[in-house]
Amino acid sequence: MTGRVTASALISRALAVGAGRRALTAASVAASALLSLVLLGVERSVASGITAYAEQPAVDVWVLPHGQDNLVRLSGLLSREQISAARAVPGVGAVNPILRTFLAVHHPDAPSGDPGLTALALAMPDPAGPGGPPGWTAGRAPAAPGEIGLDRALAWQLGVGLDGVVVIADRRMRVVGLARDTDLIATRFVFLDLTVAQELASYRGQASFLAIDLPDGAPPEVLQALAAAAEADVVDKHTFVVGNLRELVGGFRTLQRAVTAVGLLASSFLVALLVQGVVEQRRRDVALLLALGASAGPIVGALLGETALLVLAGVGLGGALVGILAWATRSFWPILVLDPSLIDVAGTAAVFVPVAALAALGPVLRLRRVDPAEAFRP
Amino acid sequence: MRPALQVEGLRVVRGEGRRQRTVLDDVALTVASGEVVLLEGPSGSGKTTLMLVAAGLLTPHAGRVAVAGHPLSDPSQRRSLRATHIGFVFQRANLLDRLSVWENVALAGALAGCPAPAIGPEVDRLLDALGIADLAHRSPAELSGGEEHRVAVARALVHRPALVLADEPTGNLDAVSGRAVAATLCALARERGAGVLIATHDARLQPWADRRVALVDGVLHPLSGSLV
Repeated sequence: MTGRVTASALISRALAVGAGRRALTAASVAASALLSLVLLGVERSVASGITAYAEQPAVDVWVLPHGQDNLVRLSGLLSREQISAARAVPGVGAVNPILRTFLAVHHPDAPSGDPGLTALALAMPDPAGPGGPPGWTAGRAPAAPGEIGLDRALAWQLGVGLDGVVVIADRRMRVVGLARDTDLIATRFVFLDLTVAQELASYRGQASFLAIDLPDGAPPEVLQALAAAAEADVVDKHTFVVGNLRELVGGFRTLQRAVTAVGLLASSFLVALLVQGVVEQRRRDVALLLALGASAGPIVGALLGETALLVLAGVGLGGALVGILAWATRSFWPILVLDPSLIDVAGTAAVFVPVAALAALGPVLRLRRVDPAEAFRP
Repeated sequence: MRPALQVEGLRVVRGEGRRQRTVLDDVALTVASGEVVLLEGPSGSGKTTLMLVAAGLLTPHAGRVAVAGHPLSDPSQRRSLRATHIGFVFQRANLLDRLSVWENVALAGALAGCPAPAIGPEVDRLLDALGIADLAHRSPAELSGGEEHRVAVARALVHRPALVLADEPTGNLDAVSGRAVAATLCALARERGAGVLIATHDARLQPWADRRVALVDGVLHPLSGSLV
């Protein structure tokens, strides 16, 4: 007969946790890890959406009213004169004014008095060009005043699809595109033609911010001249990304960390309970091993190793589940977009494993109370 | 040749204050290599205490204990001496139920630091000699009491220890199984040159012993009738 006959391998097998307990513990850890991974996946999806928007290649810098660095909590408007002054700066190429406003969107069959759903509208001269959404899941960018693009979450909530109709301020608009990388965690988005939005929001000729193309790069003198002419702040892409992420996911990140901490605590208690059970139930086996001459190291190592493996398996299972959940939400429930990542799974494991091992250490140290002479008791 | 076990001037006291009592008093005992010694005595006479001291699991208040010439006085050496020089057979077989029969036996070899390639053939040889080779892959839960004890005997001998300490090895067995276990333990130990100290109440073991001693109130007495 062959097999692993090293003492540590045999001790590990001898003290292995039963399959039922093992499955229950791994499932509990998986549930905690899943909670954390879902929140990380949501955060990642929101962050990647906003990053894709802010870093779109056709835009070199963004121009915003003084003191602003994001579109999420943007206030103030740029006047027609400010926009014209920006266009007149030497070295500045295309200037795309973008209006950001809130609009109530209704299903065409909604009864009168229905408040509809409030969406964040981003309107630009060419929704297929700079400042438009980073991509479309289905359909295309609006190309005419009567056309509109929605994000999938809003479309799903309104119960309309591609080629459907929505009503904004009594104006019927045909849905020609469903935007990618947005969901309800960010907000509900609609994308439409600038002049239509200006008319709907009564902001004629005005814009919230500008997407600017600089064909010759971004020399400081051009940026200074642009800021001076537009009487606004010139914000590079990185700053725009950071500002938007701060506003969008800052609070969410705190929630994510709190939930992760609670999940971590719960799974650590479970792991500690499991190890405690093993130590109590297998006391006689441990006494026998010590009597036969085993040192404490491999016994402690076996228990902690088993703990680490169980937690790893649990986090792995949580990772697999979040992958399935991401697919399911994308396919059937698009109000929540998950963007799971192996980095998140590895990071979760890197936090869960040592914390669980630490939690298991208490019960494992109770092994010191096991007297090898117990093996002699009948 | 160094004796398998040498005990001199052994004194063990249990309890404190007015409850203090001497469990072992000036005990001297030598078990030669290949010799089987029966340690008899009524319950509470100190047999198990003597076994624990001989195993390095209890520190005596006075006296000297050496296994194969290695003193057990240094606590840091006791564990490794136990792993390498002592085999155990307990009243309960004490097999690890998550390991197969084969692994239970191999474990003692691995703990003794025997080279991995040497352990397998030795385990197979012993299981064969004990007539339980066909049980090698079984779980201990599937064995009868007699079979379990034969596995325990194999575990006690696999690393070729100098000394085998057997505490009531037939205590949980019927007469037939008890005789079989005692016979194989003594025969295999002698064949391998191991000294055997058996603490027992069981008079049926006398035919296999070279010598008998009895503990009465902590004092060791030789019993008449060298049986070999």
